[in-house]
Amino acid sequence: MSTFIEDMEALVDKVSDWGVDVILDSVEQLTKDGRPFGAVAMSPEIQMEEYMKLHGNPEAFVKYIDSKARDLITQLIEDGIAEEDIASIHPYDIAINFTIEWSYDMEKKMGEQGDSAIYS
Amino acid sequence: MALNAEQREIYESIPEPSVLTRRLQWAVDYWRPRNQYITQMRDALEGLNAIQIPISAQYKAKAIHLYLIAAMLNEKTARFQNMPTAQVIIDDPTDYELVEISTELEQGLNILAYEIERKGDGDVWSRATLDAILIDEGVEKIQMAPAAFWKELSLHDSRALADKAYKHPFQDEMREGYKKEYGAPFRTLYVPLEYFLPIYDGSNLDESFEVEGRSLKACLDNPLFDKDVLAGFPEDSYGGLSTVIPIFHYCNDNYYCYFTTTSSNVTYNTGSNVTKLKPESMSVASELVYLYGYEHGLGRSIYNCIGGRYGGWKTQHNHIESVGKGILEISQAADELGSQVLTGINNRKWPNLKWKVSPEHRPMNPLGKPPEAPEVQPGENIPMWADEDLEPIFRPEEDPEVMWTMSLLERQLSKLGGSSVLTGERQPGVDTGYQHAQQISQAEHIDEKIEEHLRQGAIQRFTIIMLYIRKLGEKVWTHYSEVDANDPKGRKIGKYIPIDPKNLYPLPRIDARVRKPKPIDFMAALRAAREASDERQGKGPLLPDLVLLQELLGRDAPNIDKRLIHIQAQQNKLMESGVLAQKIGQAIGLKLAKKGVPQPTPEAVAGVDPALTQAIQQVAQGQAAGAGGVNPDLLRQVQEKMNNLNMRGGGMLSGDSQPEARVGEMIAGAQGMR
Repeated sequence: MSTFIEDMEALVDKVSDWGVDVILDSVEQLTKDGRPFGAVAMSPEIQMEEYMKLHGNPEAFVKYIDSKARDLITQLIEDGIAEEDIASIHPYDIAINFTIEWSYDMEKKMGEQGDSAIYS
Repeated sequence: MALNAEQREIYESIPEPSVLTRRLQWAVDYWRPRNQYITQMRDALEGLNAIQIPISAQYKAKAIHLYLIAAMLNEKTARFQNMPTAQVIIDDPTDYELVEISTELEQGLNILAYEIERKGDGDVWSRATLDAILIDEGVEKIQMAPAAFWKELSLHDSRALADKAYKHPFQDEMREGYKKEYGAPFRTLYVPLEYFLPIYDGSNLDESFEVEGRSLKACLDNPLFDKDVLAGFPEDSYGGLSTVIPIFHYCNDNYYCYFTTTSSNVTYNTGSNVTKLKPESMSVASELVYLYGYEHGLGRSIYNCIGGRYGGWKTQHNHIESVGKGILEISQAADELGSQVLTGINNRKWPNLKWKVSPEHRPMNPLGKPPEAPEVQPGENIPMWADEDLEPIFRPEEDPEVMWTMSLLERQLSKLGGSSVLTGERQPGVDTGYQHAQQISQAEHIDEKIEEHLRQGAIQRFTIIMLYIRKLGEKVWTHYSEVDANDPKGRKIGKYIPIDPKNLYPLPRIDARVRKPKPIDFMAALRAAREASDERQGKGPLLPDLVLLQELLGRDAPNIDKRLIHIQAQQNKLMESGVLAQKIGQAIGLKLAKKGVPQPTPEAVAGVDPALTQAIQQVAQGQAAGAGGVNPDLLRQVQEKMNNLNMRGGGMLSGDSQPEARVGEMIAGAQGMR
């Protein structure tokens, strides 16, 4: 038989579950087919120019990835999200994935322009 | 008569058949006036009362039954619930455990009230209510039959009882599971009052007989009945369906037995294909013959007599007779007046015409008869001489006596049966809704006695059920479906509620509700509840919420209401506090960060700047290690690319976990664990 205190504990548990459901439902609706915040497309020339600042320089790439990941982490911390929650989405993974895609695109373009033999 | 040992014991525990026969004969004679009255009332209800109309007249008489009794009964029965609702009275409402037990017991009993009707002949309470209103008493019979409803369990128990070394006890979970599946082993049956012949000692129901006409086929099909006794009845051409065997159910405080007698000694009502016992005129000449019996062991009758306005029939006469006879007489007069009016209208609206003919122009025919009446089709023109005329025999004329008489009858009927304001008729001089509601409320007082007696009947119904469970000595399960009180989304759940005999010692005090409050009553109760729960300038409320919910608002399980109120209040607070908005913002941030992140293909990894692959390895071992790490699959691809390029590095990165362990870390991270 439950006491008043047990009832209250159960209530907090149930209501917080309900709150999480509501949040997830809302987020699901709000972010459906959306694009990430802060993703502004640059022109191909500027992109190449930026890329060439990193090209062939591992340390520059490290700094770039680190800065992108740090930007993301900072933004999430500003949103009040706990660090362990931020770690759960692997911000460095995200930054690396974007950089790989970017590098791949740029390398392809460079190859098309005849500069592909730089490292061969 | 060949009885087994068990039946022999029961047979010897009840009075001898010769004694019972004499008691039955007495009961039949004693209750004859009541039964004649009941027959009259039922006939009038069904419009079977004769209306005297002129046999020979110049016009065609029309008889019409106004069914005023049926109309009154409709209106009255509609005020009561189809099923009573039990309320367990708690001695100490501050005892949480007691409140929980009583709520569960209430829920269980209320499901059982429904279940016993489903397993019986259905709609029992409604029919008994109707009888209680019409003839001042309704009767139901509540039986426990584990052998019928828990067949396998019952067989097992008797086998286990006979053989002590029985190896497979049907116990514990298996037993409870079986009982859950098959429900409670109780049923209730409606007994028309005229078939119930009680023998009272003062106001105590000592014993009773119930008369029933059952087909020979049904009797032969019953495995419990002594077939030797039934062998004396010849089978008819319908396989025993049209032969009615009189069955007399004898019941006292501990036993319930079936008897019969030779059918020639009982009077029947014979219709085209129905043969029915006539309790109001029957007589029993020969001795009762025992068929079967069992010990119910309740210490009281299994019949539940539900009183009407005057509390039922404890003797052969009842105050309801004068009311009923008055209603019958007025109803009869109204039927006759209605028939006269209808006849008048009929003859005026479809008139017989009187044709005055001109003797000069239409001479008498040679046989001395007047000329043939003209045949006129609707809409057809007819020529007549100036001194001729064609007119209806009966002309419409205003007759204030009819209106006056009908109004008098209605008024008197209202006084006897209940005010007509209850059926929505507005009384002269009553203009506002408030006055009308006031009149309804006053008119309802006449029915308060009915409500009180029905409530007592409902309490007896629940008491019999509880006594049976105590007698059974084990849990009875009821299946329950309700809105989950702990679920803020209000989802429905089904659950089993047990009624444990342990909770029935001492027998809980029960109250019952038989009438739903009208919306207007509920509004008044709500207003009263709000006033009683006001803070009263710091003095605190006059009554606690639990009492207000239970007693003023008549809620079944007030503790569940309270719990729902708490949940709702907390939900509202949470919504207002902004915590939800904050949490939504955080979740959106996380989701958005992950949204649209590309998943590099092996081709893309192979095509990146080699400096990047070096950088990725470096980041993985450095900065990323403390912030969720890097996907091991990606690192493996990077390593492959570096191997292909014959660059430094390779192998598992120092300080990095095995890929499987990384997956575990990712899951742990996602769950917010360290």
